[in-house]
Amino acid sequence: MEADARQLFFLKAILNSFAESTGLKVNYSESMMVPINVSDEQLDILAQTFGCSKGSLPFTYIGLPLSITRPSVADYWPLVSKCERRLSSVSSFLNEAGRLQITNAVLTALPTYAMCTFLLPKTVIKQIDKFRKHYLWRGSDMNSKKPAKAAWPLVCLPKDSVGLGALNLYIQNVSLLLKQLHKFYNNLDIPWVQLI
Amino acid sequence: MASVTIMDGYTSFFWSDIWNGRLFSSQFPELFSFAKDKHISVQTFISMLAIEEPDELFHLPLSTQAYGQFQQLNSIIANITLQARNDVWSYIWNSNIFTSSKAYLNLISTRQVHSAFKWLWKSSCQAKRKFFFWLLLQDRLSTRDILKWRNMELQCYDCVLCHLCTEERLMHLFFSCPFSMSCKNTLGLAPMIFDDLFQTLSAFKLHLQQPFFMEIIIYICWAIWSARNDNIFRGLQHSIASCKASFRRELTQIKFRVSNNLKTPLAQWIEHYV
Repeated sequence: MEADARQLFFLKAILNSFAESTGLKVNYSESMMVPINVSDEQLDILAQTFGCSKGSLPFTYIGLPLSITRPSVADYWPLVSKCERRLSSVSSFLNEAGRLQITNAVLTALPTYAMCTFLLPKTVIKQIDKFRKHYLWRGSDMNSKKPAKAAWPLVCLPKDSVGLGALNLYIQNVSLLLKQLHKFYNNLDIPWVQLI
Repeated sequence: MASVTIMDGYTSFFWSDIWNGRLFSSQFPELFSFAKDKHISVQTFISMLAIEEPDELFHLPLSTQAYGQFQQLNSIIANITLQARNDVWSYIWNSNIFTSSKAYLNLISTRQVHSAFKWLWKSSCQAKRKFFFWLLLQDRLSTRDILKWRNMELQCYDCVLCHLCTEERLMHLFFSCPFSMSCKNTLGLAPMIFDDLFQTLSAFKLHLQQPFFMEIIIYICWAIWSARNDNIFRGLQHSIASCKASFRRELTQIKFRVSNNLKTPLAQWIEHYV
């Protein structure tokens, strides 16, 4: 949208009439105005007219980093630290089979949402894999130096092959993203496909 | 990843797409090396061939091998007629619905493996026993030869369950060691022991002739393994009777995990042999 007071005024009118007709009100104090190529003074005026706070790129939008460029490794830091925190909070009294279950069901599932949208950088995948390996073979004790009993690529094979059914995050990432490509090529009836 | 059923042949590459069940670049590699345009569409290729202009398609002259392949290709293409409809694309799992999990399984390269892995995960043992047996199948249990290989210093790398002074290897400990042999003999199990683990397992399956053979094998191995660990870490003397007792205890518990129609045969088997 253009940085124009008149257009903003109309937008607010639309939102208000929406609120009146449906009863779903907009919380302006939690809304944010993100400028792209707008001077500071102008933004101040506009934000005051609209009654919302100012924001800047990149910011988090429904749990994912949103920016005009590709997200950097640092933008995925919340995801990585989430996995790390999970590592210490899960029980340390499980045997190997239980730890495998947690690795597959919890630690592997955490990045799935981000992987549906972005191709995760190698560093991030490596970091998450590090936590998964650590938890599977050593449990939540971060200082343990116990060696792994089997190689990680072997563990990552499916259970009906020779592995333990842990997911290879890179391949999982690619196959999740292929879904978007499938939607696009088959012209499915989804707003973003129609837009492009 | 995807294959195509040719209608007008406009959207598909002649050489590098799987169409009508064939991938020509790998079926005719020599001929492919002579191709001028490696990314030619099926439509263009067939129409060029129809007006007999092979010098547009290939770098001539062809080698004899490539010429033979060219004739084969010709006879295949003679049977194909293009239609005025769009190509129909589908994924290699015979459906045009995309699912990420199927894509994952296709992308991750799997190879055919011995069905012991299937038996293992299908068995109704506790997960920890399955994990133990998975390590056994992969030869990743911390037997003394593995410890030696990992540069762990031990006074002696010999098997503790027998007095043969052989190195404690996986196959020795679980199958050819006299102690484990006699354990199995008391259970009436004496199939052939091969050098190969999987061959041995198949022999066990054949010998047992029971639907719950995998559970039996897993618990025998577990009983031997715990006898070995008791001996090393707790200094308890191993005996066939105690090994058998622990096997019976574990197997009796499994009665509550197996499916209903296996409960009675399992109980009978335990009564009869253990």
